[in-house]
Formats: sequence, structure tokens, C-alpha cells
Amino acid sequence: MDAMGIVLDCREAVAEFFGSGNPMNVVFTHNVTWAINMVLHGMLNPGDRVITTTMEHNAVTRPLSTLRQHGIEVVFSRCDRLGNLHLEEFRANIEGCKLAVINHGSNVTGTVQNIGEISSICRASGTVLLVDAAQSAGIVPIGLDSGADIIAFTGHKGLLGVPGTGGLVFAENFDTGRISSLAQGGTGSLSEETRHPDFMPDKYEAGTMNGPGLAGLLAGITYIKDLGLKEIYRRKMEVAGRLARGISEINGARVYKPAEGEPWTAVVSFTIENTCTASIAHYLASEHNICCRHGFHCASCAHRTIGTFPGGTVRLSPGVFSTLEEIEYTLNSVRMFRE
Amino acid sequence: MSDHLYMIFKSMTHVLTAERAARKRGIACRMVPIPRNLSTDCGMCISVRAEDGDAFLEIIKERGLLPDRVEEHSGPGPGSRCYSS
Repeated sequence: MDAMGIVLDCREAVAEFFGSGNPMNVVFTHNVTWAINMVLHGMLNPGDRVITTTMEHNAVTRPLSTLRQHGIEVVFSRCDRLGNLHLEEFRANIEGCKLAVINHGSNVTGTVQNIGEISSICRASGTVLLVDAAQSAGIVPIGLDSGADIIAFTGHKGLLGVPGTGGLVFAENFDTGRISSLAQGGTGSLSEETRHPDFMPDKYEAGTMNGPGLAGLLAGITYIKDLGLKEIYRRKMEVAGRLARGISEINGARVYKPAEGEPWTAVVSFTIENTCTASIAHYLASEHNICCRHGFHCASCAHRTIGTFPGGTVRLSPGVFSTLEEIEYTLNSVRMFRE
Repeated sequence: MSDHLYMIFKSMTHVLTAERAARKRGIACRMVPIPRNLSTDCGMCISVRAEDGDAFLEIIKERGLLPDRVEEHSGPGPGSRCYSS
């Protein structure tokens, strides 16, 4: 019972974090990819039209690619070279779309979309808005007050939880009857019946919950609440800002991020001219013990948008616990590679 | 006259939420396995003293919850002898 109580604690914490007054509208999944797939596959039928952006992660583009083969029309609304969605073009493209899937924070550039504006456009056209907050939750504000109908989240990034957790938060007035369940099975409810429950949250939570993972997610959200999102953002801007400035001063290096002063999720993506990104990443890891990721970051679409296809970028992701000393060490390491 | 009530909800999340809300407000209740004669469900329900039934229902109503069923019971049964708030 205590373990089940922790799951409920986590459900309540997630609801509060995303501004939902009803913990029953929180659904836990294995990860955010599963959560997004649940909405896309559960809601879209042949003949439907869905709109998304050119900054999406494969968690969105791949299921949409599959759905396209099954007769769903997929519209990609363009973003500029910094990753910002062209809002007027989006407004022009949205007519007749049943669903809009929007990446809130880019995992490549850290660009943050204006969900308030986007939700107004969606509302005017009667389009359901699903926000992918995998990269932004716990770093920049995002909640149902943005006008999103559904928010998809992961536990192991900005929310400081562990891998294997994620889920969806539904707006109170959203009709979940519009989304069928992707998996059916044991829920501990209606056990005498073979039909799967149609009530929340059991409808989307077939099978055993990841209790230990959700305990970790609860600890992460509690920490964020105690420290405060503003302080987290301040700390991240301090270290990521220094890192981005330092790298951009290195001869031949280029950083891909939003304009100064714009919201940013503090990922530092960069290239060095005429240099393979894999070589940079391997050098930093093997010679300086610096973890980073090179290539496409499961978002080749975003790399095409910002002009880094096919080489990709090297991405450094300073966190709330990163220190300025670590940043200087990293900058020196990149300089040494360049020399 | 019944001794206590079994509050039967549709899901475990509802059971846990209702029990927590009631306990916070000092209602003596506990989660118990649903008696097999009431439901073939394999879940849990909440056992509450009969005299606390109305207060319990009021409290959970504030949380937007209502039990699917309320069953009266007298004599031995799950949770019939042990209550704590």
C-alpha cells in the first residue's frame, strides 16, 4: 500500500506541477515517446489531418511517418534557422487539422516555442493541441495555463527523475473519449470484466506501474518545487550562457541557440568548421571525460531546419548541478581540440 | 442497523485518493480487500464506520469523487474491527 501511495503522491505532484487540479487526469507511461504515440495512434484515423513543426524529435516524426502510410495527412509547418515556428504560416496551415503536435523546447537548439500563441491559433480552428514538453519541463514554465489540451512529459530530463518514466497530463475539459487506449490489460479495476476500463487514469495505464521510477520522479519534482523554477533557470543560464559564449569565441566554432534574451532550455549545440562532430565528441569523452552527444540527437528534421544536416552538431547539456569550474574545464578541452 | 460501510470505487487510484482525503480530515477508515460477496473485482475498497459514512462522502465529494457503490455490513468482515485515522 505504501508503494501505491507513492504512485499517488507522484500523480498529485505531476498534476500540481503542470497546473492541473485533478490528479486523475495524469497518466503515467514508460516514457514520453510512448505517451506521444498513445495520443497519435489513439486519436488519428485515415483521412484525418495533423499538423506539426520542422523541429520535432523522432518521437513525433516517426509515428507520424507511420500514420501517413495509413492515410493520415501530415503537415509540417516550417521554423526559421533558430528553430522558431513561423506563426503566420502555422495559422495558414492549420485549417482542418484534428491535432497539432508541438515541440515546446528543442533538444537540438534549446529553442522554446510560444505555446500561448500557438494554443490561441489551435483554439480558433478547433484543433487539439498536444505539447511535447520532454525537453522543457523543469527548466522553463509549461502548464495547462498555456492553453495546451494535452502535455506529454518525460521524467528523466528537466524533471530530474529516472529513465523509464513519462506520461500525459490532460486538461480538465478535454474529452478523453477522443483517444482510444493503445494497450489493454490489468488495472486492478473491473477485474471481473474482459473489457478494458474507459475511465481515467486506468484507461491508459494497463499493466504494472513503474513504482521505483515514479518514486524517483516524485523526488525530482519535490526538489524542483523546493528550489524554484526561477532559480533553476537562473543557474542554468549562468553556466550554459558562459559555455555558449566561450565556444562561440573559438576560431571556427558556431553555436546553435536562440537569440540572446529569448527563452532557452540551456542545451549548447555547436560545430567546428571542417570537423566531424563524432571526432569532437570522441575526443571530449576519451581525453577529458566529458559526456556529450554528437550527430542528429534523434531529430534529423530539426538539423535540416537549422542547417546542420548531414553533419549534425555536438551537444553539451549543462545541468542545474553544473559548476562554472566545470564549464571552464570544458571550454579549455574544446580549445585544446581546436589547437 | 449496519456496523460499517464498504465504499467501492471503480479504480485503485480513486480508492487511494478517497482514503487519503478522508484520513486528512480525521475520518477513521482503512483500505481493505473487497469482500468477494460484494464484488468479484480483485481490488480494494474502503471500510468506514457507519456513523462516519455521510461525512466521508461529503469529504470525497469535494475532491470530485463518488463511490460506485456503498454497501452496508454488520458483523465480521474485512476491516470491520480495525479503524485508524
